[in-house]
Amino acid sequence: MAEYLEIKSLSKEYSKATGISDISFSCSEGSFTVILGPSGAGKSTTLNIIAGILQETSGEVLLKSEPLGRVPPQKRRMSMVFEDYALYPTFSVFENIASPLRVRSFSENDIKKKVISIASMLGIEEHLDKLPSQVSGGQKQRTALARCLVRDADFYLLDEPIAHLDAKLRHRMRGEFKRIHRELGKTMIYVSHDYREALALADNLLIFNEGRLEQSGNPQEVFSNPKNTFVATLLGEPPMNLINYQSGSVKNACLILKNGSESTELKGVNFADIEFGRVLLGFRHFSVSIHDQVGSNRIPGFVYVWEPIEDTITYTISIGEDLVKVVTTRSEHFELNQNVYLEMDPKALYLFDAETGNRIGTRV
Amino acid sequence: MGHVELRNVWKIYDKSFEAVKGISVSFSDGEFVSLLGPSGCGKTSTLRMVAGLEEISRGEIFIDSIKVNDLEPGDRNVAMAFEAYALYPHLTVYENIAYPLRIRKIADSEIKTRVNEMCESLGITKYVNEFPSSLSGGVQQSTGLARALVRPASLYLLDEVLSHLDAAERTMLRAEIRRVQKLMNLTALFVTHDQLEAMAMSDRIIVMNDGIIHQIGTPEEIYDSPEDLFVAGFVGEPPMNTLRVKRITEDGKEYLQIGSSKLTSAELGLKAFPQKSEFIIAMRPKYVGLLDSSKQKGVEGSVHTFENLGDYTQAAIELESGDIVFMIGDVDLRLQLDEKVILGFVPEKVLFYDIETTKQIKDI
Amino acid sequence: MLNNNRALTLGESQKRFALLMAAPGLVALILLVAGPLLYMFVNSLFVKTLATPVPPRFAFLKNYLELFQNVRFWNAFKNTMVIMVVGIPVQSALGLLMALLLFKKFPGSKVVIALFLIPVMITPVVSGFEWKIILDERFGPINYLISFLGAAPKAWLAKPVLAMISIIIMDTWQWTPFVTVVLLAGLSAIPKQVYEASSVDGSSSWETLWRITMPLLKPMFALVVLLRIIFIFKIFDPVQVLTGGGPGIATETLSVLTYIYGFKNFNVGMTSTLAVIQLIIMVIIAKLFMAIVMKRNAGSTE
Repeated sequence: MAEYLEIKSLSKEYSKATGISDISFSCSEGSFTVILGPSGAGKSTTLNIIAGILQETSGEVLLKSEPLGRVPPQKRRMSMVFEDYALYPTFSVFENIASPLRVRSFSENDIKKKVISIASMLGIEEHLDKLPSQVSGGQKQRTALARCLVRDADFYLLDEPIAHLDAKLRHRMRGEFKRIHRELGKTMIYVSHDYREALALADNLLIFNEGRLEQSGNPQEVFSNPKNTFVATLLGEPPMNLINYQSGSVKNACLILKNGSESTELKGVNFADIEFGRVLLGFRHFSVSIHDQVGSNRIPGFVYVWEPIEDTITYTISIGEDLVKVVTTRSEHFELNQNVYLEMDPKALYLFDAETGNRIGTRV
Repeated sequence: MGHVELRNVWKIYDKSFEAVKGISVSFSDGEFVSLLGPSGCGKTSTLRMVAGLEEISRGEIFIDSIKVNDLEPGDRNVAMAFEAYALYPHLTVYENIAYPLRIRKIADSEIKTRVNEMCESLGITKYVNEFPSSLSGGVQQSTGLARALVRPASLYLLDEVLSHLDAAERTMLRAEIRRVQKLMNLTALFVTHDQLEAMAMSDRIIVMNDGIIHQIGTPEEIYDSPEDLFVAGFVGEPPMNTLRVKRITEDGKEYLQIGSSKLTSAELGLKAFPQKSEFIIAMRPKYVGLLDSSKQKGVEGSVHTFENLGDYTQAAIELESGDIVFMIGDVDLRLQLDEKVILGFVPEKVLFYDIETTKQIKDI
Repeated sequence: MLNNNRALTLGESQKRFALLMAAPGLVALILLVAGPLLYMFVNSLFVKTLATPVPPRFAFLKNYLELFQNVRFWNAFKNTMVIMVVGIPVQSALGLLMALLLFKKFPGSKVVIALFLIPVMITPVVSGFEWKIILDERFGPINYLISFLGAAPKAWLAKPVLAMISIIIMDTWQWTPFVTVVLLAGLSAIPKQVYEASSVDGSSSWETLWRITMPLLKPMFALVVLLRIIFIFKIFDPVQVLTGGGPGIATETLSVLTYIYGFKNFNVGMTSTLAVIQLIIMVIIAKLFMAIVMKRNAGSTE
């Protein structure tokens, strides 16, 4: 069965900059898709092509199996909200929200009903009479959002709608989005560069990098099974730790990593037997502990810096040329430059090819 | 050297606007002190008065026991890094860092060693011949910091130095600053609006709002035991939960009413509570948990938002009173929106606040 | 970025509409600028005067060769250069000094700046007449003032060197405020924080001037100097009024000479030749000017 919204091998070439190349994904009806990536990854380009603002070089966008290629943006039944709110400064909040309805000649009563219902869902009903200049940044953002959502569209495109808000407000709004989406039950595509937003909101997470789709799927699945180092370090704070080794192998659940004459042995790993050249050993901050004594499955290093954060301490440990971050409780204390040993959870390790960044090693 | 004292310092603009209202604080050699507060709280004015870039309206500032009120910035033996870098645009990175040394007529060979050393420790050696405008924010700010750190000073002033940087650059530079400060045992005053930054970097934090100091303490003290509700709400993300509690007596038994739930102190696990008819209890989201409704009594609510953030989950629980309680749980927790839940608190971690004064009630 | 994207999607019909809207301006431009320019260039290749009934004769580069051997042309060229070489450094130095003084805000500094700008706003012809009166040998206030110093009255406009000095003084009086205003704009464009950094770094005001202000003002300086070069190159009306190029041809500038060829001798061919040469020199200066301005913009992008 065809999906509701389907994006088929979409490419956009610019004369100088990289656009996007061969992007394919689909959104089922009523789903929430998040496109996550750093700036310049092609997130907005993709969204603008779906909106019809930009012309694709090749590929197509299908809505309910109908190609949208020749449909101009104003005729696509979609609604979009931009990163910069783009409110009409001389219109009240009410009129701003009502503006897309006015051009579609709804009755005055209908407009009022729709505007008030969406405004109360977003918690700005008290500000409807004010001008955009009289409300806070968060309320402006909600107004822009309400203007986008008030229209009955086939799908909604949200380009970093809360990126301009301050951190505290952003965290609140993130939670609200999920409720709004559930209440409206509409298909939405949301662009973000904040991994927390992406994990919190997405039914389907798409990771973009340099115009390519790196990985897609259920956010938890992407988090725990990153395809490459890019995805692994994009998700999580602190990001996944990576240590460089020149070569290594797995034999009988024992991982041996070599740097010159030094060799590290980690027992009890869940990898099938394999041999490899330059490699990155990856692990998350919560699957490692710090000790001041040598022991099995421990890697030596020294304390580069430590930072108290809330009721934990984040240690940055220097291992060879790499820095890794480990979060511990306050009861453990190690001094600056103290020699320490990191004990790995052998079942929570990742291996990446150092050249390509791709995951290697099969789990057993 | 590096003892700093502020005695009843005021900053009054245009004879009427009181930006800083008589603050007194002193800090000692090798201490990293943060001025933390929302924008407009007077933290930047305070820093600028210490630097000598702003006149001291009233009060006295001493650096190494010398009253500096009437000294020019250059004569105070302080070094400063700026929020917007304030690099000399016509000079290369190398010349920017060398500038304060050239002013002091230091020999070229000595300048060379010191600048190169500084670049090495902040990792900007490869940019020494570049001009600031061609560099990323992170490198520019590293240059600004290097320019401040390259010469010995009694006090290093850091004005929102991380706020223009992207997330990755920020965590990286945060750790570098702390390490350099600790290794060189520098006295530093750091202004920030970001509570996480303040906690991660500081030995002590001064929380300011509205021109007055709300609390001075170590990151642990500030986080564990905020003096008043402002600090409780400002530090921590999500912030500390605060709930109004009413003491009522029914059938000769004493109950505490939170939202619409009536619970005895035993049911809440509280050994003692303030002898007032109404007060506020507060606890960090980490110390909120879900109870089994069939076995235990607790505060009733429903799930307003629920987010899975990769290595932990976060929920906002709405009580019948409309209050929101934030809760942080582990990865495996699954909650449905609007699901009914019973909340409990870790009793040892519950704090009490006075409704009128908003101050913490410590003696119960 | 977004604007670019939208521009990319302008439809064919919209493009035609845009062209239609621009058409009146384009037509006017062609008729009023390109046409006369071409006509001038053609004229410069002909021997052609309006004073005699001799028909125009095509002479190719004869006019140019003749001009380059003409002493009067080289004299006018030299005079123009003298005004530049003496006037511009004086005006720059004075302008910088005034800009630095006025940049320090003091009570009434805005009024001072406004008063200061009056010479720029006076029509050059008027200022020519003004200075003619000021420098008058018998009734002029200058001679009256120097009589207090025991000096004999000077024939300012009658002696070749004094006349040249008079023109430079007048030009300096009129254009120094312009230099000041441009440099003031340059000064206020230097971020305040850079000065704060420099004061915390411990520089004295003198060091700040030499190490920070001057280097950062350099692009503005280049701009103002180039503008002045262009202005002086075309200096005409005040000179025409003040000295009329005299005594003799002692203060004749290129523009004055062009005027004499055109409207006294009615030698259309020669006038056009002179104009073409000036145009070429100006284009070269303008190119140089653009290169400097562009380089500055490239340097300041963040």
